[in-house]
Amino acid sequence: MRFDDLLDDWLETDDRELLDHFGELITEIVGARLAPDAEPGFDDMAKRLARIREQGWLDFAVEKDTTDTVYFEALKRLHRRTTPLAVPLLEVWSALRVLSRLGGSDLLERTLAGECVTVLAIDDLLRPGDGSGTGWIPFGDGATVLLAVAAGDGVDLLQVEPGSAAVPVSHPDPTLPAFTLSPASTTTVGHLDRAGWEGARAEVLVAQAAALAGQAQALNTDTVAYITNRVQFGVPVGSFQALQHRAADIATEVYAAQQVSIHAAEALGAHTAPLALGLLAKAFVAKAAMKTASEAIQLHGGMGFTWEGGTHFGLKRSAYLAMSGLSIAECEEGLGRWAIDAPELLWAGGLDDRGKRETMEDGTA
Amino acid sequence: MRLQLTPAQRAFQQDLRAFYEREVQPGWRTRYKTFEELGAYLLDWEKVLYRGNWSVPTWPAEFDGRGADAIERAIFTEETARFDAPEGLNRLGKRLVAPVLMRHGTDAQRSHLARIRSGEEVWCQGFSEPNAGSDLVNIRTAAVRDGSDWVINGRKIWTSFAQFADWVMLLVRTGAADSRAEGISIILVSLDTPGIEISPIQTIAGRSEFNEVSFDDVRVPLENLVGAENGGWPIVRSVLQDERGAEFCLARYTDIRRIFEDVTSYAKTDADRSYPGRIGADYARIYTIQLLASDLLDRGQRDATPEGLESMLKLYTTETWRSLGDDQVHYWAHDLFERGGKEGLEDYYESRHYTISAGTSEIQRNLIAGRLLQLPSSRRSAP
Repeated sequence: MRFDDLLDDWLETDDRELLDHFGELITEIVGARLAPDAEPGFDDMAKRLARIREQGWLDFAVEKDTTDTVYFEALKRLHRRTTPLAVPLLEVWSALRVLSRLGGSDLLERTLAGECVTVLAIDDLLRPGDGSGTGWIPFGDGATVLLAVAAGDGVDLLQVEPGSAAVPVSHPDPTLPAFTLSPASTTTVGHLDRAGWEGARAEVLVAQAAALAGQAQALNTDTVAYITNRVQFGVPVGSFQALQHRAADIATEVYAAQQVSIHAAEALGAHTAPLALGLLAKAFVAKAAMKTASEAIQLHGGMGFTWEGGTHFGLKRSAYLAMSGLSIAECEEGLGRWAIDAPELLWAGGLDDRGKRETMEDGTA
Repeated sequence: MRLQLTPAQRAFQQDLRAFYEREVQPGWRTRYKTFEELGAYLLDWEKVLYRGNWSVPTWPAEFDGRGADAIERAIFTEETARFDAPEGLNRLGKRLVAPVLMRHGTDAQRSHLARIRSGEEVWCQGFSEPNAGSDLVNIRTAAVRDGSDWVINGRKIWTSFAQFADWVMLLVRTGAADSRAEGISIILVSLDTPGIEISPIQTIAGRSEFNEVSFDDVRVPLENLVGAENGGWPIVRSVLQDERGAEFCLARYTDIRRIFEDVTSYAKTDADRSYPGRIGADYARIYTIQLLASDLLDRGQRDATPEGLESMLKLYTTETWRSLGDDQVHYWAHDLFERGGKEGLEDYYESRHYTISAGTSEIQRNLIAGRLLQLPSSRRSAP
């Protein structure tokens, strides 16, 4: 069994076929790699997003039939490529899912109908301010923004129409140009109470973890192939033990990241401490993904440092995902504080009934 | 893997909880001053397990085990960690020797199984030698036919629990000196046979779990050979795979988890030196051990375990313990050295143990690179 097959063989056949189909669509849409001086514009992005919508993959995020497992796995597939898609689909899907927590809204309907492109301001959902300024918003110069501001022990959700003063942000991923906004006017869309806000934050963190797990897998696969084929000293460089051991270490991290991502996706819906689970998933997977990306560049040698080699795209998307919302250190700190305050630590595996509601095979509790 | 407990698995869990609630004595870890005293206690614990029918939950029913499936094995580990229950002294006999006897032993050899189960017979394994550690196929301890006996000469090292054991499953060379894997056999040897000397080795923890065992013209009946003559290596390979498999790692996980729970308890009492970011990072890594072990157990049931995956679990688990040990010194030293006392120090020393034993981390990386990633072989003929 190939290592990559090992990471996929847990899926049900129907789900795998569905996700394979999605992955092929994204591969078609990705197009040529970005040139160093290119700046992706909002209009091109919106056209790509329209193709995704036409194929039914916007509704997918909020359809009743879409299980958490398949939703998060789709985010993994979206990022399981060395050239990431220049569409902030994670932020768009997250906006739809946050809006669906309100039980429906005009903004949700207009977005699904393709009348506007709505992206979630992830930084502000995770660290809400007063709404006078925002964190990073990919394509925030043209998108409709769903913005969270602190309100009581939850958040108010505000809609920011395109046209607010947008300042470009310097951040690593050139395929997702981001902006901060100073909204002149906003419209209130709804309110998330404490539990709803916690659930929304956890879901975004698990989504980022899934995306990072997919990105790490792609970089690992690409790196193993490179050191298998690259010949120096008359032999493939992947035959040298020094490189083999580094490859073994990152493959182990990628495998572990995959398991954490799967577990978080499966456990989130019934977890007694969803935010802790989300923090754990992002802290772990983002760290593994950054290590993988860093090693991928190193193991590609000189080619790893060139634009043409392309490995940097994965590094940059990983860095963007790791930095956006909560950093790795913030996730670790938040998780640690939760662990210190918790009357009892929760553990994984599904066997420990402190962590989740267990059900018998016949469905009874 | 979404685990849904069946009624049978739930009953397994409830029975085990009731047993541990009744039998585990809090404070057992710190009660004994010497490793020998602790060993004697763990030997008694084997009998407690036997009386409760928890001695060999993973053995098949035909050998009087409970036939625990992968989920139940994970439950066993989970509950053992929760109750901080002892592992017993005969784990090599129950987990490594017994499966070999079940699969490859003669009827007479299988008669040991009942005594292993009851704790009457403790076993150890004699694999490594001073010049054959990671390179195990280089063993030189030789067994030569002489009439109705094998005559064994040589030395074994890192033989865990030999000072408490009654028998050893011995790896010997029965082929030519340069026969490598093709000339290796397995022989069962009673440790009270004349010519055997057991010398404990002091570890960095100042205790002697390991031993050097020498064999000087030791005579063993020919019928103690397990499997075919010179056919021992394929059997050993499967043993080594088990040794780094899910159960091995879940057993380490119980220790790691206990130590980490102690760290978080300490952090509750000293906010200035709690280092929550580091607690979060270690928590995530330790939490993940069980996910990896559950995946391996699940794959075992589906017969979908690629060669080399055990090495990932072993590498991940033992390196996680090693880095937790490092963090105890870097961040929570006062807990480790003041409050943890001797037990805390022993835990720290043990964090250096398992990245070396049962195949070093470097061997595991070789196996991952070769078997799982299928990277090109580094072996080139000498110039």
